[in-house]
Amino acid sequence: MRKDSETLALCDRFFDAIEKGDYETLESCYAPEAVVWHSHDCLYESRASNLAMLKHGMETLPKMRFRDRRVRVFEGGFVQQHTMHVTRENGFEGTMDVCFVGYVRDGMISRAYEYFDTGQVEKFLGPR
Amino acid sequence: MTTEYEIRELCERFFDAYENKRADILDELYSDDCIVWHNVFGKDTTREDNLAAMRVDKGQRRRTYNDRVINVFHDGFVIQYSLNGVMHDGHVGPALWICIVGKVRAGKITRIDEYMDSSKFPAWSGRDRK
Amino acid sequence: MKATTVNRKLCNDFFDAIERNDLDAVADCYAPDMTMWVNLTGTEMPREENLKVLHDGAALHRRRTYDDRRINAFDDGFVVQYTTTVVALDGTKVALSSCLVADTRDGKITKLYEYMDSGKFRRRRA
Repeated sequence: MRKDSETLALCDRFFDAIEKGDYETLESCYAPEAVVWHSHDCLYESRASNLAMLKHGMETLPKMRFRDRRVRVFEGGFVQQHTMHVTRENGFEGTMDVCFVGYVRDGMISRAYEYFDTGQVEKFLGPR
Repeated sequence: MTTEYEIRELCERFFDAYENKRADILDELYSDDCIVWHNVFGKDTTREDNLAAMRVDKGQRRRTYNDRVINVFHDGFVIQYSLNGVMHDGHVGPALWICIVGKVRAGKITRIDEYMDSSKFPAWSGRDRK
Repeated sequence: MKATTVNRKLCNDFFDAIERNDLDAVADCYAPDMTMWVNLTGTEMPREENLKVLHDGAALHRRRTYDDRRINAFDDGFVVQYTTTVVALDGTKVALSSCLVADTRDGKITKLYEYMDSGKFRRRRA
């Protein structure tokens, strides 16, 4: 499918931007109508709220990496499985296995679904 | 070569088999070397582990796999769905919202990667009730 | 093949046929008594008129594709949300988000309901 490579590029660009702290590129990956659903509350979060959260993370966390990325493209979107590695301000390195499903419109993420296990949140946030 | 329609139907048959507790159908659908990875355990399990687990009574009289949104690629599928359970005592908790990525080869499932939120289990099974 | 699979394939075959201007294949997707309702006019068009519109419409643009197809199929029909990308004769592109609902019977489309936003159509230059 000729659009596969565009969708793959979008997916890579999105996660690379978060890793590099490149807010402008990250922002350009989301369509104006974008909403993000998370499995911890099963609610759709607005574009603005999600970007603010990512921006805060990019500015305060020493390091964020999406490792072991496995992407598959389907008609209208993609699914990426990865392990998120986050270095916290106190030096703790947290990890979380995530499955991210992105639905794409006009080369941008229009709707996203993020699945992860909050039952293992201590592995991600560190000891409280 | 498996067509997108065959992969989609395979995915549906797989979940119908879990819903109807048909270990015989699952036995056919899992490849011999199939690995099932669960985010909740963070490790690989075998087809035998999973077929055995299906036979264990986890306290549900009935479970249904609803709201199935399936997307297909040349070698597999991703499915987003809600798992609903009715316990033996009649309790119906909030659904579990789950995502599975499946790999398919020659009409069989060769790998399952399952993403659940284990913090939702107590409410789902009613174990959090006083 | 399950009825939902038949209808899902019918939807893809239908769009694929229009994309390659294969009107015989499009006609093959239609039941003899097929009609089409379009939200833009609110009126129903019979089968032959619809085929004629498709035929005449092909000359108005260079290419049109039906992308990002999100199909939900039922035993007696389907609904598809999609993006129509139209490349005009002068090379410019416009992408329209649309929705089509179909009633089917025995693997053929008996009724189409098309929802488009004409406010997004390119205005013809005077």
